[in-house]
Amino acid sequence: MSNLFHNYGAMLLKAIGIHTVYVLVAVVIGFAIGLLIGILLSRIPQCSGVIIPILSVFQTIPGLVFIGVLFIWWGDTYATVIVALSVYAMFPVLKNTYTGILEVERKYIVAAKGCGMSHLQRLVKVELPLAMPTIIAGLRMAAIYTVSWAVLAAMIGKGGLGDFVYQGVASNNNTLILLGAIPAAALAVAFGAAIDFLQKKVMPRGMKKEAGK
Amino acid sequence: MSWSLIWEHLFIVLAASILSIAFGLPLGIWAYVSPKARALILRVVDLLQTIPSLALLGIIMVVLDPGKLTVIIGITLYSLLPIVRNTCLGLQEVDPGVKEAARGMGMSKPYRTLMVEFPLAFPTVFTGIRIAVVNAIGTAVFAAFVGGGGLGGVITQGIRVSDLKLILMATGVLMIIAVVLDLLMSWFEGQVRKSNGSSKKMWIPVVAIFLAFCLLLPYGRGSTGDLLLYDGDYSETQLMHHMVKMLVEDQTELTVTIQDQMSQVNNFNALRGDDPTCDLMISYDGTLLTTFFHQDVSDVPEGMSIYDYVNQVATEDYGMRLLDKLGFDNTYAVAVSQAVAEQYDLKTVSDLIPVAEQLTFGAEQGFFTLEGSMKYDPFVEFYGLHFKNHVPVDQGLKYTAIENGSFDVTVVYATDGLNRKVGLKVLEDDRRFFPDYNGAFLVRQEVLEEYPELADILNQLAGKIPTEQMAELTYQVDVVGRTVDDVAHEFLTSMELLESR
Repeated sequence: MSNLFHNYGAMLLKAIGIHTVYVLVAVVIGFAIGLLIGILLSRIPQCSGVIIPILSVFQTIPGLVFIGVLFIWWGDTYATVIVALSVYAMFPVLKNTYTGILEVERKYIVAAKGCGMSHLQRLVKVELPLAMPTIIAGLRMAAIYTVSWAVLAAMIGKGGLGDFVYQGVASNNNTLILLGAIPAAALAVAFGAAIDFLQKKVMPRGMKKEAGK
Repeated sequence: MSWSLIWEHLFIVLAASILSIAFGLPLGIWAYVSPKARALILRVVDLLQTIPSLALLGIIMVVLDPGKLTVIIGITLYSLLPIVRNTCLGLQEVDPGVKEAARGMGMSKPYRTLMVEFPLAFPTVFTGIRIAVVNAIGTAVFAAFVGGGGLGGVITQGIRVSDLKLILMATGVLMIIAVVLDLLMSWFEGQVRKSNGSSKKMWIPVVAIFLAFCLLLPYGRGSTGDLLLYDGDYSETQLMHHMVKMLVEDQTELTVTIQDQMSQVNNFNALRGDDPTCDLMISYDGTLLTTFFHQDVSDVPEGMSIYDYVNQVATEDYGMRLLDKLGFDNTYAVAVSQAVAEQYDLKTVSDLIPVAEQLTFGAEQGFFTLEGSMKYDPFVEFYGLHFKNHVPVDQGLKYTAIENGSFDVTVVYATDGLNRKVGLKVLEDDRRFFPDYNGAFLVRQEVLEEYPELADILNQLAGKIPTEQMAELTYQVDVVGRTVDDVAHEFLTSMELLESR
């Protein structure tokens, strides 16, 4: 065991670092884009009935294919990894933003209108805060999935925990597979916990009381 | 790509769906009934989802042999989360008034949960099942890595030879399957919602999934035939296995079945053990020694060839035998692009020593492991090379990467037809670092005893396929684009081992 850490310890730390950076960058980009598109789609619900299913279809493209095709076009740059991961991280955020905003009860929007809020004020002050728990749930899903997908970075030689998984699979070495899989699962749990914490913070005060009764 | 691959893919998806429903529903109901268990159950299914697919399949393979079952169990574990969570959630959301009324009528708790609350929760439960099924279609692509068959093999092959058309076609089929299944299920969902919890309608989708599964069963069960082989995951192994089929079926009454694609490692794991699912495979003495037996060249006794030593270990410890060497030596060869070779005037590996600091070295992940002696670290140490950088990539993407200029020096297999396509210059291993990787058939002893004629039939190929010949054959498949069947048949005919058809 100590031998294992002597051999792989430094590599493992580096891989965890790279993996974390991939996830962070991709989730931040994916979250920003997903949030934006989600909000835009929620403004035009009549078109979204068509757009959302089309997006869902694209989501079924396996990550393996997407990263492989991007690689053939762009080569092994960090951009390939980040773009591929961001696109996949975007989907859950986008969907949840859209449904979260649409599920905001009509009466609150009418009330906000009655208070004389502008369109933008309504969105920022009423709809988004009320939809926030759903949006953050989407973010949580995105982060956890991205940890798992970032393993594919190793496929195109861009490191991360996938290096261990791929090496282990290629050389018939279960220890190496576990050395990649266990930190990846731990990383996902850590991200999940961090976002759960965030979830508590963003929950509007009024909704917290309701949940507590 | 053929229909059978599509059905096979669907079979994996449906089998996993049925399993995950069978386990997910009770787990979800349990999580609802017992708040104590809820936190634990939800956390565990959540955790399962976070394990990367490839790693999860790898972990399952520690216990199980490679094959369909491994993939199905893997996908089942992934599919649990949406089903368990939605079952629990759906039950929680049932109108308290209804629950109260049911209790008032004197229904027992299990009766209430199953006959009143569950039907009312069913639309939410079904949404979970729908998510699980659609996700499973994409995850099943990983079946290709563990010999589970399906469309994943087409995709990995497409990536390997950079065939965008093939990749897009396979992906398109996956998307169509996803859309069709999703539409079907959303229609069912609409019906169920309309029926307002009538328990008869509830069973329609369940029965439909089960019926579809039964229809696809032929694509999932173990293959029959006197001799079972797996298809290789690269052209050389595929060619050799097809030659086995042609020769044996031509010269005996035996039937030979070639099953799903498997990598060398998985194929070996399927060949060994108490319950082998195949009878023979093509392999290499060097691979056997290092990858399968986890030994080293230094473990080979003085004066004994790797081939003889490996054959001895295989016979004594594994109950297998290597047939005669086929002729090709698929050893590692160090190669550079034509342009780099000219720029630095490179002919041998030693020529690299003075210029290595300006060059990047790239190869598949397997070449960079710390264990073993035929690897990157011992290699650079042996020659005293100091490369600027080294990059591990997926084996299938290696050739694209060197064409893109991601790295300058790589290690290739001597018989790979893609070497010629990409215009790689193979450098002479002037100090003989790499040992031989002689191709030979590895057969289980029991099979040789059962069919004594087999060894002689396959040994007709012994020495008939030198390295250059094999490189030409794989070139025909990977670059010219001919079918494995076609190339194998043509070769056997030219050797007069088979009548022309």
